[in-house]
Amino acid sequence: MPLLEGLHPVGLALATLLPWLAGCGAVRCWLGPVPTTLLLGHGYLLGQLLAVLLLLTWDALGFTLAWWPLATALAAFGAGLWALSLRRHPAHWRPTVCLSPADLLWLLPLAWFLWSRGSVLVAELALRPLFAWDAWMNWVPRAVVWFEHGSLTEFVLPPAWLAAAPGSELYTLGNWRAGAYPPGVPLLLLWQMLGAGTFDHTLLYLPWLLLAAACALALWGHLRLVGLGRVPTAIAVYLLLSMPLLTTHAVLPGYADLWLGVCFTLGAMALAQWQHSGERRYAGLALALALFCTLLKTPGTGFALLLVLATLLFWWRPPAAWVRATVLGGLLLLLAGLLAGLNPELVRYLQEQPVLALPGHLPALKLQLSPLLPYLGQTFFVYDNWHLLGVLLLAALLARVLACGPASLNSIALLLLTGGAVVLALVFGFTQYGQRLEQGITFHRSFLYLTPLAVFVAFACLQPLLPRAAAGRAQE
Amino acid sequence: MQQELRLQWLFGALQGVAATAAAVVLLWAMLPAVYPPDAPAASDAALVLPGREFAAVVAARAAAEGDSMVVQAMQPAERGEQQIGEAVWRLEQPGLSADDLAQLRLELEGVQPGQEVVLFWRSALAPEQLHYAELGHGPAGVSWLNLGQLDTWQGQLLELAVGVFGEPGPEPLRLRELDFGGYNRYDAAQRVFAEWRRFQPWQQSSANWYAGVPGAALIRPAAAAGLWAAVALVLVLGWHLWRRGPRGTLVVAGLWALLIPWLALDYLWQVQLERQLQETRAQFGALSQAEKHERAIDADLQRYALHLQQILQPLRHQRLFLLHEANQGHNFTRLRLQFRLLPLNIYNYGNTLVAPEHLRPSDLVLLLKPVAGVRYDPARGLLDDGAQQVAATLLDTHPLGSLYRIAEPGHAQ
Repeated sequence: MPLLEGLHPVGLALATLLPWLAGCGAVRCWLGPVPTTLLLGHGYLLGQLLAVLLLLTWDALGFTLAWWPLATALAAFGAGLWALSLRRHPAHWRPTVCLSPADLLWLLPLAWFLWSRGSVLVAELALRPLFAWDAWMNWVPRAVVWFEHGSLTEFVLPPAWLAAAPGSELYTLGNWRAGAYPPGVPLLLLWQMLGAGTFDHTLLYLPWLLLAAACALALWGHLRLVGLGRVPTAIAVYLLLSMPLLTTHAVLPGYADLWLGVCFTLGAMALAQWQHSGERRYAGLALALALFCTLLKTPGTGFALLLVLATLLFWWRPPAAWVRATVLGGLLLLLAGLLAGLNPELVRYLQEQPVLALPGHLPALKLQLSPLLPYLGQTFFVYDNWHLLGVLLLAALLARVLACGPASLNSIALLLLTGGAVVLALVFGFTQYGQRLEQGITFHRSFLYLTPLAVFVAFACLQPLLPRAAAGRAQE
Repeated sequence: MQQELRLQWLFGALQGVAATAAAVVLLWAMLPAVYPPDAPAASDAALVLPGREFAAVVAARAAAEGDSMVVQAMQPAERGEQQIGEAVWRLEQPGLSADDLAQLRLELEGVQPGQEVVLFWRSALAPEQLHYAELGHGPAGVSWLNLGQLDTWQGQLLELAVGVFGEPGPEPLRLRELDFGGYNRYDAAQRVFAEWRRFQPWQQSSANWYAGVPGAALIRPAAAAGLWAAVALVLVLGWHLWRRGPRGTLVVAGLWALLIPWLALDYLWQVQLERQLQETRAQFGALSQAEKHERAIDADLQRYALHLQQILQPLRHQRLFLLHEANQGHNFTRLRLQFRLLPLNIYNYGNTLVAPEHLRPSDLVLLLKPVAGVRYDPARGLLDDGAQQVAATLLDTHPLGSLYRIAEPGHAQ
């Protein structure tokens, strides 16, 4: 079969399943029994994090990166997690999902969508060799070199490469800063390569499709836990998976944006569940995902900081009015940022300010105002990056505030969504990165960090406004 | 209680569907808003030029078939280093005044993704000057162009032509007709839907944004759907304020008022994905990895990389400096070759040699063409970039580049 030529299918299957199983074991061990969708969604991300940490630790200990020892180690660790989890919370095998004939009204359309869209995406990914530019320029090369060397050869910036002493095996990439990018995505690709026994195959990039599926599963689980009915939850899952730019990043794999977006979203939803249920262990899950954010992309540090700050804020339990004020303040700051770039005087003033040096490999920041508002309108209301997410979010927020008053702004998920939006507005509206607005490179896809969370926030806003039966515990 | 809930959902859904249907009627009434500024209204008789009135002046083989002019084989041509095909249909002295013609509708079948379709014209205002405008190509071979917005579309037309350029496809190119007319709702709607169904294969920009339609359009689908949803939401809200129904019903209605336009947008996206899969299958279906690489756009670079890796197998741990003329920004050729040469250790910057203190004996230098500033003197065994000369041995020469091995660090002239 041409599709499977050149790789070890069993190894690849294990590379896909072992982290997932281990991740699910970690989730169950930490949180106890949770709905299956939540287990699978968070389990996938945590499993990838475990694989990444295992590779880093293995290499730090001086061992050669070889598949079977690594797989055995992860399998043993995963088995240990499951054993511990089952000892703490014995499993009671009983059907937990009750479906009635009326459920077919949402189940059949959703299943049809998942089949018709999913089959196209799987075929496209399986047939097309690595295509997306940043994938083969920035993220995949390190995985290839590490695969060939059996160790995590160091990548440095070009000046350091030139100045390196003879005998030191340092690498550099053709994009100046790419060698200093966080190692998460190359490492999770390396894991797939080790399992498959090759660095060159389309099926190595299945994790990008599975990532979208994991996000959808986690979204379902969290929305059901906050009390949303199955029909609107199914609609939310459909809206998430139908967004074109999210789909594109799943089917033209190799970029890190979708990973960061899903990681941040799952971390925010975990904190939202903490707020909803009072179960503090969800904070631990959010912090683990914050760690993963830092390993994925340079901006991931900023988003990880948001998750940590939100965790600390909630631990502190300030008065609800303070949280509302923070959200409102963030929204006003965002608005100010959007409008400031339209003022020529302010533009001139900031251009005269000096460059802000940042530590380590981080690029220096030059304060520079850019007219962000038109581009924001373009990405949400003119281009079809996110279908009608902009309209949905605005309408849902407005409906919630008008129906429930300012108290409805007391939401940690909304706080994180606002914080993330402020971060993007600051980067593109107040620094030299605004120069890229006209080209469209980076700006539109940066919203991948927030759009999955925006779907959750919109439907969480709608949840108390929709007709619903008496609350029952969500099982699926 | 359950019954009441079901009724709220049902009435909400009915209200939402009714609102979206009413919104369609309102938008139909508002459709003239998408016409270009100063667009004239449609006249009763649109001007139609059948394809057989054009002569196929650039074609390897062409013939009239019914009302159409068919180019059965494109004329071979070269664009840079690429072999392409060309086809041009021309109408001399059409006897038309450009000022009377606001909108063009072209029916041209057989155009492949990646081919360019261009309208050419000369007018009496500047007889020596040939003007052109690119048309997108829509489904069923129909494409549109706003003529009124073209600055040079003025005066009495002396010549009108349509050209197709690009890699030849398997089908003949059939020019059926050119229509010239003004704007009316029916034609505008036809045009809008034709533009929305235009297909563009994956581009490198696809991971950066999705515009909804390639090239220009009267109105983008997301903007239209957003407007549709907004009008429907306003109607839902207005009905609720008038009838004072339960809040739950209002929210359900609002959800449907948004979901239906979303589904319509998503249908267009699904059509794009399915068409893209057809293209992908045609290019890569039932092939092994190696065979897929032969079909990719950088097949020549991949072959060159394999060639170099065979030569460099004993020298895999040496450093390699890749030089290429494109020195600014990200150049596809040099970056793609670096990727294909992995795991060779490559410094991929600049179009001249690095400073002598950074060069070591046995370092490799790859001059990926074009590299205007670096020359090799085989008689003296020297690489010379004008600032320094470095002793080097030629290891390989190839149409895409040449490979050298440094003998000893160079000295400045």
